[in-house]
Amino acid sequence: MLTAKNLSKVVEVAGDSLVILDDISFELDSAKSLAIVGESGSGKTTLLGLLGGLDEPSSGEVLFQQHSIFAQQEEDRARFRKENLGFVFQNFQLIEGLTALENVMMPLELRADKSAKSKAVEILNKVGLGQRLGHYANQLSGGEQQRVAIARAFVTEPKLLLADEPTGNLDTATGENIIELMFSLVKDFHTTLVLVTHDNHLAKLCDQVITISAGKLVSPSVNH
Amino acid sequence: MGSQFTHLLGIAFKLFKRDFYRGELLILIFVMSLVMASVSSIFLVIDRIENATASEVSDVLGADLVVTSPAEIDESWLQDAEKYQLESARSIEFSSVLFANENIQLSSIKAVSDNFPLKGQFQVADAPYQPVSHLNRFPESGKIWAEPRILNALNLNKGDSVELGYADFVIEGALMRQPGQGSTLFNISPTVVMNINDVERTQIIQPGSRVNYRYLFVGDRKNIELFNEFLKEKINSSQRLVTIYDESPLAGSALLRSKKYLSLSTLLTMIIVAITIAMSANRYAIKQYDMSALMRCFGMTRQAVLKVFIMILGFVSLFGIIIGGGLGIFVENIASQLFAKAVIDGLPDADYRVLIYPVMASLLMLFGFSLPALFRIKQVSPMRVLRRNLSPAGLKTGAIYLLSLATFVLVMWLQMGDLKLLLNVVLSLVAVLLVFSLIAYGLLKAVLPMSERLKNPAMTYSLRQLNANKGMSLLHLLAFSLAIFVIAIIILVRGELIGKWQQSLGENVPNHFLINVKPDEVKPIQSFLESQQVESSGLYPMVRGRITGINNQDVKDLVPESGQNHNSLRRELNLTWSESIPLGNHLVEGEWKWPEQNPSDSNATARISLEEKTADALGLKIGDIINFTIGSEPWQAEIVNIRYIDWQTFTPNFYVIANPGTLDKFGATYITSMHLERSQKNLLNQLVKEYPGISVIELDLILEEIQSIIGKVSKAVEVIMVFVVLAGVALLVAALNYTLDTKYKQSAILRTLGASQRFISQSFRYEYIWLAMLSSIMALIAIELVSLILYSVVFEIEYQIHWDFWLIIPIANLMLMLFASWRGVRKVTYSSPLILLRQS
Repeated sequence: MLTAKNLSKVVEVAGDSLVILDDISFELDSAKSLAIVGESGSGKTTLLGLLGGLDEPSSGEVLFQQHSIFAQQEEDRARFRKENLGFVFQNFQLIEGLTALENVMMPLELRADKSAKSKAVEILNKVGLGQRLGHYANQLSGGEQQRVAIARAFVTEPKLLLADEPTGNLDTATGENIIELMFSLVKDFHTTLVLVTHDNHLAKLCDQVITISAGKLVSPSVNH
Repeated sequence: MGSQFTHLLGIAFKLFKRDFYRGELLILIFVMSLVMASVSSIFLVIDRIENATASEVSDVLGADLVVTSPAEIDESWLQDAEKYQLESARSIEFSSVLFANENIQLSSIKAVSDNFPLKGQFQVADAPYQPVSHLNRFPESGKIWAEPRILNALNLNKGDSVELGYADFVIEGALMRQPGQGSTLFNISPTVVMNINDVERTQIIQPGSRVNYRYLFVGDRKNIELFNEFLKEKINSSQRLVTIYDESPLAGSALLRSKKYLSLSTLLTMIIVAITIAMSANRYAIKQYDMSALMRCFGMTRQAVLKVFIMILGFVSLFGIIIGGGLGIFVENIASQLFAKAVIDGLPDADYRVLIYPVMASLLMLFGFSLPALFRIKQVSPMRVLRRNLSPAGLKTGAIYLLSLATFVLVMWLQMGDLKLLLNVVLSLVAVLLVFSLIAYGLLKAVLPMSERLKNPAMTYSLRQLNANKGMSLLHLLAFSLAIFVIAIIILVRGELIGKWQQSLGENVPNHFLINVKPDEVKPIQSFLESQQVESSGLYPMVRGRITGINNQDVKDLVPESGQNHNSLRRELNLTWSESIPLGNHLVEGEWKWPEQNPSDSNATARISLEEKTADALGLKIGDIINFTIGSEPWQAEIVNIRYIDWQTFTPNFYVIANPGTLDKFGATYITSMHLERSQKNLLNQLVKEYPGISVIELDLILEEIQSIIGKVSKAVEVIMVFVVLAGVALLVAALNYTLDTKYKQSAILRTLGASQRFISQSFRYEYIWLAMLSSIMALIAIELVSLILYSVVFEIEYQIHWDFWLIIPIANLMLMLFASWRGVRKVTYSSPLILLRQS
């Protein structure tokens, strides 16, 4: 389903080359979950960005369903994201000024999906926010905002969900609820999940774990 | 394709609605409305004033369009005029001699047709300088109207008979003024107006006679323009389309200057507006980076993101055009009521079709100046959803900025149509920006080290902040100083340039000329004027001569092609002599020093002083000899100096001034100019009765027309000033909003570090004080530089330093900036740090 092959990312900083990721490789099967763990600045988020086609590697490739996503032009990668991916972020990234319902409808509207509203209402009901459809982001608690973000990610029924520290901004209890919700949706939609986290407890819930340090894969994929 | 467009339009509208309610687009909509309101009201007011001015111009011409021809024109042209729904009339002009009471008088005869006059009225009195009747008709067959000089020379009164060619005519009255008088003002011989049907009876016009046929047309402005274009294609080299500039150079130059003033003011308003748009669009773009990254993350392509934001700007435009257009029409109505009606009788209705330009200009300005911001939004990396500190890289290509600049130049060129003025202003602007950047950099460098020596911590912190955000500080200094600069230049245009111009046409400007005064009449006329307390410019001798050669060679062989059509070669010049340099003249080259003249040495080479522009046009320099023909005699003189003449002085001015004594052998007549009040017009009657040979040229009505044009222009500039001040305030608010965005975060961090609210608010205010002072100094330096260029190159007016600005601008700028930032500073200082952090 998802394969990273010798991924490297090098950036120029003040005339020097800085290696962010160095020769990362792993494989992940369909409907399985992978946790990427490591210290701050180890390159986890960069790796997640590369897996989602948000950024380009200096070398190496990412195969999604046996197709290299970087062999495509940026326009085609955008279509690939639209058709296959869902994202959940640490800081929720809800669109200010839009209601919970409008936020969830947004990715469907970008696909010109005529049943955007009914699908959005359905998934918001599913995440327990059926009564908060008309509320704006700043009228919701952190946990509720993340539920909206999760609903927004799943409403397009993505094949691959990329989550960046989804509980990073939440207290433990709320975080646990969110994780429970996310994993249940992953199961329901048969979604493949890649998760970046500091939280070992959360990592253990995933089928596979890789650890990165200073851009290098220090422990190869571990299957639970 | 269509469905994708509708789909993106839906998303764009949703985002527009969101940003509208959140106030993110308010400044942009406000600025867009302001552009539309200012440009549309300027256009509507100017259109009405131009229509009114055009009607005054028509009065000077006696028609909307005039063609002159030495022979009758093709009849089919008149039929074509009918197709354009134009009314036409014609006059035949020729010279002949009138006989009466055993005297003769050479006169200009003007025979007019049915429909004459098409514009304006004849003013006819029972006797010269008596109360006049305004007549919309022409003389009946067998009757004529004659100018006072004829009546006095031939000792005629109303009802007397006079002979012209083989026909007799009855004097119906004294011709005091006629439509289209501009063309006849400086005729040497006085005018008679007669009925065109009587021409044949006189038998004066024979094959080969020198006759000038004038064809006059009036009608709808658009049709006149079309017919004008049609005639341009048809006329031959001996026929001419007459413009205001030919008929009345004075009114023509007033009109030309008016347009320059208005164009300059509008242009400067546009500059402020353009900066405000660029700044507001950039601020909006920065706030959309997250949105753009998210949309990319959701799978939108770069192009689609760009399209969505272009559509959002489209909605902004729509709002701006509706609000601004409505406001523009409202202001134009109010402005016309308040200002224009006072100076214009029967102001024509506004033509709302002219609004198409403001709509186009507003759209071009908004999109042109938002382009860099739009492209930054397009370039946001989708990785920003994971790393919020990722900002789009600066635009690598200057093409986008060049495109913005090109948009600006295009809008300006469409509006002004005066490439010279536009180039002057654009070049000045580029120079100003360079100078501004250098001065700003220098000033910041000079001020920043002070932070170490200051004892007030808030002041020290404020300087450190300016230093920390050098790029932003420079940007704000440029924006503020440009706004001040533009407002000040418009105030200069209104107050100083127009004021000086009005002053040059002030109350006691000479409005009558006396010419053809014989040498023995000089003293008695001087005494007469003194006894009547009439102020005159003094009597100057005048000899008429034609330039025939240069350095003893034919003039046609030596003068460059560009100078072949110069006035000095097309007609006789007025030559004079003088011991001293006349008022309103100054030397450009050489010395004003005449050699000792031995009266008995008639062969000695004469010396002359030559007018600067004539010297340029003919390619003449000091030491060259000019060969003249005076009467039928040759005369030559060496150029010893080149002289500038201020043609606005309304005193006799001469292209050529010789050293005294050298022109004595030619019979000279004298000329003077004087100012007469309306109540003193009767003196003219006495003068022409006493000295029948003299001619009076009355400029009073033309001067009144010019003053009326200036009055209108100055009112129009006042309207523009209202908008320029509003645009300046909008720019200030946009720039302050820009700074406040960063202040939220600063304030929150300082508060968490334990800084007092007083310290924070003081340091922010000190920052604005520095910005106000530095931007004032920059603006003042630029004002002096640009006004020096404008005065000397464009308007040809003497330059002086504006000391009053050096006092007023820093104080006004400081007050305005502190006032405008007061609320914002309070908000970022006194809100809870938590709220501030969230907002930042």
